[in-house]
Amino acid sequence: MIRCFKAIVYISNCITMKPSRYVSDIPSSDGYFRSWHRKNKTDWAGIGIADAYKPNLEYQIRIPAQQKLLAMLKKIRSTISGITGVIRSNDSGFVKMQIGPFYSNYPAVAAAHAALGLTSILEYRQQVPDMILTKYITRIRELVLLDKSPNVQDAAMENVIQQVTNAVQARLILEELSRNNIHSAEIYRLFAASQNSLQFCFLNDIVHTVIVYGNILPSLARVDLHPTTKAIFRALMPISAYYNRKLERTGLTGFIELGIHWASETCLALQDFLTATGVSQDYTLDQLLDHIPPLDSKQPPTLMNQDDVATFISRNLSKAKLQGIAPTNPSAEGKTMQERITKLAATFNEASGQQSKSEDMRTDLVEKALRSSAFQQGPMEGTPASGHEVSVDLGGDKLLTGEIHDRPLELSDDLSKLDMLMSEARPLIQDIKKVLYPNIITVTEKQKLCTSGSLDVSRLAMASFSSAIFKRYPTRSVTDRGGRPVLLIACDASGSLNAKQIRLLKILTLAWIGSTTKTEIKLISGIYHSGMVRQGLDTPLVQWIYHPKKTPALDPRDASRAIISLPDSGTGAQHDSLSISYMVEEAASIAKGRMIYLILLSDCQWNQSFKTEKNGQQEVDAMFTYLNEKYANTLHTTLIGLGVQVKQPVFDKINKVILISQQEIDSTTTVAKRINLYVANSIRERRLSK
Amino acid sequence: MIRDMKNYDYNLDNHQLGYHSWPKLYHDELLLLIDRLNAYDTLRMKLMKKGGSFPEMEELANILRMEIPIKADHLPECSLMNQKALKRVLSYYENGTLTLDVRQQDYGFPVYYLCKVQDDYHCTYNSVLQDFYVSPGYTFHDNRLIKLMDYGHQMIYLRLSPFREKLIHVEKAEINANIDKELSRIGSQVLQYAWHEDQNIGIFCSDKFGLPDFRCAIELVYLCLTADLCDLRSNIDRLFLTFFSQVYEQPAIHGFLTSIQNSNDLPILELQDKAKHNYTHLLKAFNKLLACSVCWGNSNQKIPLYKLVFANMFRLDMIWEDIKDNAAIKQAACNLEETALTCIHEINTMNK
Repeated sequence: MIRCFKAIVYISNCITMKPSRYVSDIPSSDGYFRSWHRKNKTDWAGIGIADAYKPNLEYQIRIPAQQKLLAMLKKIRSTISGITGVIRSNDSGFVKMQIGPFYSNYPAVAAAHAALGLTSILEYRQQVPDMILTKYITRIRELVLLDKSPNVQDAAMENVIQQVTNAVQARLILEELSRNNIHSAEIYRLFAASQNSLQFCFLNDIVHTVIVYGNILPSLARVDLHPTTKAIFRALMPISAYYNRKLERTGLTGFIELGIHWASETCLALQDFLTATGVSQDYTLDQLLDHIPPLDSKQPPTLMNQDDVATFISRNLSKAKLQGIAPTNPSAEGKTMQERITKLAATFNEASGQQSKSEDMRTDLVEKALRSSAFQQGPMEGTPASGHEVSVDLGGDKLLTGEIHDRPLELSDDLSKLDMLMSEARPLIQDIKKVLYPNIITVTEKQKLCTSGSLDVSRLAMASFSSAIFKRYPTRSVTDRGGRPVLLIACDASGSLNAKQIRLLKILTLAWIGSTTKTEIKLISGIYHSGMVRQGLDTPLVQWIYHPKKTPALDPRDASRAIISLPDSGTGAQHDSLSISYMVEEAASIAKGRMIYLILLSDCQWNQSFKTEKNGQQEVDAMFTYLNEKYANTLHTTLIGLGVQVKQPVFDKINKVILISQQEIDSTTTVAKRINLYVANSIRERRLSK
Repeated sequence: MIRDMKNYDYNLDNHQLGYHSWPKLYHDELLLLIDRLNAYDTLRMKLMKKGGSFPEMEELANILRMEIPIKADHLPECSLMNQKALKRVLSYYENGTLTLDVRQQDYGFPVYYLCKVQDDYHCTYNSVLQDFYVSPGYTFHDNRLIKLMDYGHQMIYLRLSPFREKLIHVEKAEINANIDKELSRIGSQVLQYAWHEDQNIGIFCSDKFGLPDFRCAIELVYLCLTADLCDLRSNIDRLFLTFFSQVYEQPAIHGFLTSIQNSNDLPILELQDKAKHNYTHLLKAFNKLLACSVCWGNSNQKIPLYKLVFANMFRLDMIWEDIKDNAAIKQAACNLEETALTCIHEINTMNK
């Protein structure tokens, strides 16, 4: 335990190499020079895992912190594999990093460990399904039914069995992980306990408090509780104390048996509180409408885990024997009442909920979600996605605005798979390397001044001492082979692409990325489709394979590992014009006026992104018109149609199109031929353009 | 109407490229919103504390739905329920410095915090300069720092607003016209470096366990290690010293500012080395406190204090009552305070 504590305290002080930062000296008011970027803690304390998701820090700090966090996660995964004996051939199928704690108000260092802890708990549960108590719920149910009071409703008891089993299971997993030196799990227990509001509105809260974190919360004598809540605590405490002592002496093999008895005894102890006693007083609907008890008043716990107004009112309504209000047999009046309650709750939830999809999930909502499902999958997992607003002119009256999220793709460690794919891409890399990507630069040329009319009188005065009068210096754009253009590879990875198309997409992306090694070309590469950004939010999504400011890969070659992380067939629904516009905007922010070469890999089944009269194809057509105007002379687009045979009107807006039909997709030689042709064509064009 | 004349302002402050007109909101319009928030919270608190009737509950929902009559061209209709429109309207108040933070409380009720913020693009944290409205039940876990939504991300802000009134009072209204500027100057020159989100474990413990010198020492060490001391010295004036002696009473920082102000030859490197050295000492002393064992729970099981602290981060006062008489903790807390005092003394006497 002490080691665990030291880990928390010292982890933020681990010193890592600071990345070089842009420093621009500006004079301060009194002559001292200072940097634009003022110092912060990481300058003297180094970068630790606590800095992984701090939005106030720059990406140069967050990315190394995320890499450290990922390295720790990998160690934990391998420890869990050691415990469970499950060996994975590749790194797919692991539970995603649970990053919810980072977005809470909890101190960042401990939150980082809590995030690792929750991930390890879920990973363990996934790897050893046989060790999970919920698999033995039938036995628990049998034991409970033996002694169940007839007054207790079956549905209520079933609910209790589920809640108790989950709590005991969490306790057993925490014990097992702690015994194997995965201390982050214990930190997560502390984090979960800190999120407990001590209000005990739900039976689930009480059960978890007693079984999982009963020994670390404040004395309940200091908390103002409802008499029923107090009675439940009194009934459950001795059982938990007994089994906690027993657990310390029990080996891993005895956990399940112990858990079954612990859960069943706890359920039986709770049955006295589940007996339907009814309310002696009869209310009419009007009477009840006139009296709602104070919302802050201490209420007995409920089985339901909802705390909205509708639940509160319904709970108080159900106490009364009201004619017609019962959900099973509602009268017209009762129905109206229920509608009013639902409308009320919806208003409060809308006014207090998350309104903009593109914003980060709010801290209070993250905490609420973590509180309600402490040992379950959290509201945010994997790599966090940032929301962005994109404006596109599709030829209407005004700019259209859409919301899109982006995040980096996780890097795979499955090097054998990468080697296999690379061997298929290698011939193409050799070909594509020959393509020239000239940049556009503006040069000032000296020309002899030959006026067609009278001389510029303003220059005549200088004639005696300056030769400038006989020269002029026009500027013009020329191609520059030594420049640093930006190569943007945008891949459609939506569900409309089948396994063959995705395989070819991976090979071609790998080939284009490979062709940029040892060159001055700046690469940005990503896939676009739609996906789950956080619980309940499925939006258009760009996942970066390589982005100099957003991905953890060291260089484009390292970024090839991200391609292996892609599933074998496409997922989600793409929003073409929104996603491509966003990716081009990102490329433009890196290019800063230099040339952008867009390589677009798609099956050309364009989807609609905006609520306009245009269909998907018309939208993409209008978008390319807009982009070509906006980035005049600095955007060159190549489209690779995967499984496309028929020419579309949009192809006229695209500089180069390579079509690979469905029949040709399997044939590597045909694809190579097409690429060869494209390369030869490009070389010819770009040489001529010089 | 006066409002109509005010609503259009040819604003050159932020738009140096040319004339740009937009509706501009003033305090009168803001009062409409504050009145609405007041009406909502009064009824909400009545229902929370005393209960009420179902029609009252519906009345509460109606307050959220009702349009707030802020009228000007180009402004959308807004209500408390439509946060997007409301935030857009608020962006027209004084060059877009208003922020409305909404949080979900028990039973799904929204609670509000309306404040004026100041962006400082060269600093890690932006600042909150003035509180306009805080709903009952809106909690600040850390009085110094707050998370607010900024361009889609939950960013941390320095909360300077609690010092506003006191600073005006101390400076006897001379500062009134420049209060925003002066507050943000103190924020960006000193508090930006003295306050940090990673300090919160220490700050919570020092506040709840009664360790004032530890708190002073933490902030001083961070200031020494993070600030550009030459720049800081050149900016110290009477207001800075008044602020740290009378408004935000921080004797350690006050002493430090006084000492570097009077120092002709500022030993920056030595000062930072000393601060780093003391930071390690402070950390060790704090670790010793957190490592103390206490008997806890029904079974009187011995557990280390750090577990109680991390499990009760936002309610430390509830555990302090039960552990304050523990001899080991008393001793460790005493040692920590001594270490903190030594740290403050060593840093503040270096320039003398």
